[in-house]
Amino acid sequence: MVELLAVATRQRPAAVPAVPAEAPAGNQEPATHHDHQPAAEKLAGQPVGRKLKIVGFVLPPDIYQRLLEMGLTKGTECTIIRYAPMGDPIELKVRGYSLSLRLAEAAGVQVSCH
Amino acid sequence: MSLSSPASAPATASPTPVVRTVVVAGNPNCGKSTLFNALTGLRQKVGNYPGVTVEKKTGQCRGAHGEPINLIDLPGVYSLQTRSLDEVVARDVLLGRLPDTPAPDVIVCVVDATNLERNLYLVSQLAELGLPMVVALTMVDTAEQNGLVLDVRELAKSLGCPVIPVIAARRKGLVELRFAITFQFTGKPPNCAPIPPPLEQAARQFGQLLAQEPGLSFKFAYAEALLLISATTGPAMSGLPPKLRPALEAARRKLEAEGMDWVADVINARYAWVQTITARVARPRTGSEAAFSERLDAWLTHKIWGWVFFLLVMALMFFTIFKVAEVPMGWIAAGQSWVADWLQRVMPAGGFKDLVIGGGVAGVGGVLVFLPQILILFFFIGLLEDTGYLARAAFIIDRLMQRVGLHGKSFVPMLNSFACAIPGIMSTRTIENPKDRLVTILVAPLMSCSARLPVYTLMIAVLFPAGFSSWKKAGVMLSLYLLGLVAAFGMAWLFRKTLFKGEHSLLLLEMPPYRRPSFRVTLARMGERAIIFLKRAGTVILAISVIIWAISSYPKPANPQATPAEALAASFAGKLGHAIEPVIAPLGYDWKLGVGIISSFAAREVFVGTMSVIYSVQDGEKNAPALRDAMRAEKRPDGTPLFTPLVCLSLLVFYVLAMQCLSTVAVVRRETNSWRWPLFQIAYMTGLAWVAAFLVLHIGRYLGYV
Repeated sequence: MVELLAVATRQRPAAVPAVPAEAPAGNQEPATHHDHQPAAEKLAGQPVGRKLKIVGFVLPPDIYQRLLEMGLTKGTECTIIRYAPMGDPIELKVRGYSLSLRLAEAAGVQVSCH
Repeated sequence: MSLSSPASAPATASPTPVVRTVVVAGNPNCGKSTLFNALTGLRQKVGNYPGVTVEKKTGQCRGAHGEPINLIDLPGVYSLQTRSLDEVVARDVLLGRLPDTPAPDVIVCVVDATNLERNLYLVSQLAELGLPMVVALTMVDTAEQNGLVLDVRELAKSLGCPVIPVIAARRKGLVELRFAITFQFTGKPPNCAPIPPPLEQAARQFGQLLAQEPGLSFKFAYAEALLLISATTGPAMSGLPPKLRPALEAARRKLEAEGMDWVADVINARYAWVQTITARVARPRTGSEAAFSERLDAWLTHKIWGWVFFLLVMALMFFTIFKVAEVPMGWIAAGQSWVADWLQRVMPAGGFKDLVIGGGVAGVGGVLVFLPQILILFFFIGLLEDTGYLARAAFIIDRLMQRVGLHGKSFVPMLNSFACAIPGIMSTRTIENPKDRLVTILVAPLMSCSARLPVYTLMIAVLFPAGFSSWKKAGVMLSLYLLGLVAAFGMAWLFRKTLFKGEHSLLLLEMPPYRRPSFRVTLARMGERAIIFLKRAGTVILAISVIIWAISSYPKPANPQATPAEALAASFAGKLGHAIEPVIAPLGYDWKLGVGIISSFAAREVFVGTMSVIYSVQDGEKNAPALRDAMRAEKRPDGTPLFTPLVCLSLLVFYVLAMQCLSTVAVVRRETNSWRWPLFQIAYMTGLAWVAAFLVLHIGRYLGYV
């Protein structure tokens, strides 16, 4: 058990300990969480099929938290599979499953391309 | 002594059997219902949690020693960090907060092997409750087909609890699962994700405060504290005693000072733990199922073919609901009149006989007659749900719904409402945002439900007597459906602009891989939903039909030889019809139509029955031509015909828009937990109906029509 925990702690991905300088203050204020990476772009508008990595969020805490719980944590890789027939929402491949979200939220997810 | 020992021996050997409670939790789409059904078989009950309309599914199974176990099926959730009604209930059951639901002894967490990381996230949260757990691993066969190699033993070791692969449809792994459950009654809690020390410390401290509160279980104080510290929504904070709010905020400020992000860091830590586990137990997949789903989706969510398929599915569904259901509906109607005739012969004459036939049989029949349509609807919805198409439909239509302030997930409730607003409103619980849900509830009854159909049919027959092409009739019918749809979207837009301004609505929709549906599961669910419909709507409709019967039968006319029409005129309903005449006269209606509107206030289809009584036509529903001709012959006092085309249209528009359904009112009252919204709904819909009917009549007259 102890050994297992130690392994788990060692293997935490690099993106997680990157603690934001400004912690969320209130419930409804948009919280900004940036990693200091130069190429942060919006998830909304990215071309289909490009490999993306989540680097931060500019969203109200409750929505940002929901995205995290669905697996869109910082450092996670994702790809846009398609845009809906009318351009919104988008379908995203993340952690091996498909999730669709609206452009409004996707605009608040910052990604880097690689 | 020698006598007493045999008597006491069994008592010590088997103490009063405590029936243990096991909760079955899991993500949506993980195969939880199938597993629950396989475990419990027919020994299950569907009810409601007190005060809310979330379905409570319970059942029984037997453990390793044959001991009975109570199983509770939780609503499918992604997280215990609650946002929707379903999630609140799931959390409260797990925390043992609901009065009539005992806290679980063991949790069975159903995990979809093809979607391991996100499913294990819920496991990591459940583990924090400190209850013994069994993980039931579903879809293992699919995962294997996808080339995923899973090390189940390693997974069990990492999680610190038994992991049982199951294929519920083929009953594989069920025995092992039941053994594991029994084993875990005396088992240890599973391993937890390592939480960053400042957060863990904060949760322990706050948990101690929580544990001192009455009604909160000491056992779950830590898990609850962790949930509360990272809570960002109203429902998630609902478990917080008000006086502990300052302490919670102090804890959060302290965490912020320590550089922690209380919104995210717990989640990040859990996912990090999950990733270390999945990295060890599973090889990344190169899915054939995923590839199949993607190929299919290239068509089904295509810019053009996606819409074509969508419309085809809807058309097929409506055709089945309205055409195929006609046959069993005929049987039910025939059965109802047979029972009424039989009672007519065998019961002694009197008020009680009239009550049983006019109120009871008519009421029960009125509910049952819609059952075939509702069953077909539920069957289709279940099928669409299980194949995974429903998520695609929501994906395609979300942009349109968004434009009027609705939600991709509002689509199912609106669709349901074409058959009946009651299942429609019941299905709004999957909408997370309360405002989105409320807007959907408010506009759902504007969709033309099947109870309007008899009224539409009758009035269209009066509008176009024999000889008119059926294309014209079909055109009017279609326009009525469209009018309801447009009104629903328009009102949703209006409510969004006025009552619920500036609310952010969120769509997060999992798109499950396409799967072959199991007819057994779909049929079972159809049955469950139908029973709930019968319970919820049936009781109300029955009560109301008795009341409507009473006000249309009493007081009895002075002259015992009076015709039924005269008797109705003398009754309370007749008096009410006269009373509301000034209100409906501007719409071109007379007091007789007033009686029709009043008597159908509870249920629209009653209108046809009332008209046949007023116009003294026996069996107006079956003898439509006679009723039609009687109505067409009706004259105003000045000798002009009452049912001019404009009056017919105005009446049709009125029935499209008016809230003539008390069962819906009752369901809205339950779903919103207040009288405010159902009353508002009656007011706005009736107002809208009156104004629209008025405009039809007067604009029509202005344009020179009659």
